Amino acid sequence: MDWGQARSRVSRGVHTALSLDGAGDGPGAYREYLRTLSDIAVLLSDAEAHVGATPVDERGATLKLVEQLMFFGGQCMERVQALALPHLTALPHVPRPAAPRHASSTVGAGTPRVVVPSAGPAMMATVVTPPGGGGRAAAAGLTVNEHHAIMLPVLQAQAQNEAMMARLRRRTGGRGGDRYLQTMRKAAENMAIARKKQELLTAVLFNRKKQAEAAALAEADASIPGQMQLFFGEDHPQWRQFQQWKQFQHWKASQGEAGGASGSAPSTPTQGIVSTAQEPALPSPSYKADRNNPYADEDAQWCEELSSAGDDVLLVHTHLARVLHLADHPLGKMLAEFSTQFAAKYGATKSSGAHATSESEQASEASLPQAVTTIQSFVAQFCESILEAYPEVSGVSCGADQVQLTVEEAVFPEVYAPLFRLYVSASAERDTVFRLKLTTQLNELPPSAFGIAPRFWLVGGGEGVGPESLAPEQVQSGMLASYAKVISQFRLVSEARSPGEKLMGLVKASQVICTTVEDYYRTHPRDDVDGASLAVGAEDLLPLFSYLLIHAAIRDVWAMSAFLTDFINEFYCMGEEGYALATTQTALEYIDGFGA
Amino acid sequence: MAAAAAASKHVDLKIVFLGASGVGKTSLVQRYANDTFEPTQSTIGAAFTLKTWHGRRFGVWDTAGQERYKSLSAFYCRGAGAAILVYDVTKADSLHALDAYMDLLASAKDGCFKVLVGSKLDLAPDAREVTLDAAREYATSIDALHIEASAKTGDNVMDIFNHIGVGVFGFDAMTASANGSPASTPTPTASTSTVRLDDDSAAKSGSDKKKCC
Repeated sequence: MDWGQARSRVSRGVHTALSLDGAGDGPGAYREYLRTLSDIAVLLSDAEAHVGATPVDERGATLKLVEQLMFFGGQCMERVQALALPHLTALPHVPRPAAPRHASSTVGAGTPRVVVPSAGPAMMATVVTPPGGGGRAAAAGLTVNEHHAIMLPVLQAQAQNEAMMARLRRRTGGRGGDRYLQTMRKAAENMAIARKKQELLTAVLFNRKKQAEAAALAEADASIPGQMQLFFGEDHPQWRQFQQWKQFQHWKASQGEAGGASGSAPSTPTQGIVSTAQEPALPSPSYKADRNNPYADEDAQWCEELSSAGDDVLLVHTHLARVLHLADHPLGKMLAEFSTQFAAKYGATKSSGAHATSESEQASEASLPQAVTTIQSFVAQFCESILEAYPEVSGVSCGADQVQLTVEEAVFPEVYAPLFRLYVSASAERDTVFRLKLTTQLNELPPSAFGIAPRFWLVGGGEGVGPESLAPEQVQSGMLASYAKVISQFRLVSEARSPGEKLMGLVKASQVICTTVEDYYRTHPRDDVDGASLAVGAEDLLPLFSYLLIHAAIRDVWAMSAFLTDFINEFYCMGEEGYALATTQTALEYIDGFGA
Repeated sequence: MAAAAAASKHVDLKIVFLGASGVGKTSLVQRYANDTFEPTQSTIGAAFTLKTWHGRRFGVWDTAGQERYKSLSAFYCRGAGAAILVYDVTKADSLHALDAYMDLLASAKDGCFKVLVGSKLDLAPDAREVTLDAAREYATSIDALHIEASAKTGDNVMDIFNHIGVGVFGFDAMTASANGSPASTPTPTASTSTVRLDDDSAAKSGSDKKKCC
């Protein structure tokens, strides 16, 4: 095939079609576009065979042509849709589709009209269209050949439909009738099948790409220890933490082997790693049937119920939360032992916020990472032990996640006081400076200084008086009164004693901000604000959140942020709790750097 | 009881919106949240939304693009399976402003599925500043899919999420839920619905969608 000629032919076709379009001859241009599309489909098909038969280093020119053809194909497809749309409403039995990109197209100027379905949205995923056109997307990151492979099914279906329509026109002489409708349906089915093929191909290609990336990453992972050592140095805490984690993994693996042979109860994972404290031995999986467990019958009944629980995570939570607080249940007993030993080891380092001495701060900084690792290891091992003892829990949807959340909810209140004291000591300096900044610089500033739009000030001076016309102190007091519930909610967060509860408190504070705005405009409608459609997005939420956080003046807020960062469950990172924490951290950073 | 409430609100895929201020991130979230029949749970205004897509739960995270919040917390992207990078087709600066988010995206999941979205497509005929070629080139450089969309008209908004869904969960996710599971409620989305010429429901959903604008 002479590729130069082929390219000229397609290019001429596109230009003819464009000139027809400019002259206002819609149906004529439409036919021209379809003819050009057929040409393109044939050429692409030939090009595919040609590319396959050409050595890799000589494929450049053909591939370039393929890309140009795809560009022209995209142009044609867009114009076909644009031209077809005005004719749609004239058809009595053909409902108007949802959006232009779904448009069917009308061929022929006379009556009755023939409707040809357009390429549809899947086409848009792969074609390049001229500026000013409708919807489109390009599957970036794929090679030209892959683009071509994705595009081909729809182009072929389009050509097939065009041929079918041409046959119909020849047979009926433009008179049509029911046969038109049948052909239209057939054409729509063709296109639907082509689109599915196209989606499938896209998914396959992307998956292949992702797999290749995953393999490359796995290879890179193998050299991580070396990189870490190089980057951090042997004395760096991060490197030491990594070594400890590795030791823990080895310990776990050896326990698994030894446990299988002897059946003995595993001891605490942190022994000899980060903590020298005598921590409680975790229960063996057989303890639930132990004679010393007075709740063995209840446990058995719970397991029975769990077998048919499906996705009832509440069932997992209720029983587990109860037994964790029972002093004579093996789980409760162990939790109590752990918290006592933790308090004995870490409770000795006492300091309080701004009054912490530099020595005690240093001592806290030294013991904080140990305390964190101790708790994390205990929780992980405790959960594993529970899942092993009650395998029915894993059968419940999200059961393992629920166990971890419930265990955390039980563990943290028990260790909160000594643990949070360590955080307070470690963040004492930052919290003191922050608090000083709030009281001396920030709490007198008007909301506009934080970029809060006037519609969120929720103040008004009565009929016709906008918030901008009020005095700054009036705005300040009015706004704080409107958002009083949010400030109360923020203050409750510092009283919570587990990461889950604190995060829930931050979520509630964010939610109350949104509902306060909604409620205000429900009761105070304003002409210039559409209260019904006023949604608080992130760009509105963050300034409001920062402003109200300043006025809530929470104690030890940096300590709280560090505590949550260390102990947020991975499960929460995906949801609203993670969102609330991200918002809090960003607001704190913003406030900290305010005016800098 | 915080723990019990949380486990029932699990998220299968975290999708984070990134982009400069005023490019229309929140409008795209709202359009997506309000335009389909599948369940939506706006838990923190339009900033955090839970949306069901063919039986999978998407957690959609909106972010602030103002310069003053340039040090966004890494938590916004931590564990994100997909990122939607939004620029305004009528503002050339907004495309390259996305460079600022690349470090943040490092904390996303390995193989995070990226989509570069040119917003305000309805304004493009008169005020386009970012050409398709420039956007595609940028998309290729960050290994992202490129789509242009309009929150005002709804054009291609559903496509963004359908591409993400298929890209992350595979094509089977769509076909499996279409075979009778409760999540197969028909949606007037671009790549999931076939416009049948004799199907009144498709037209009805289409006209409803128009009214939303």
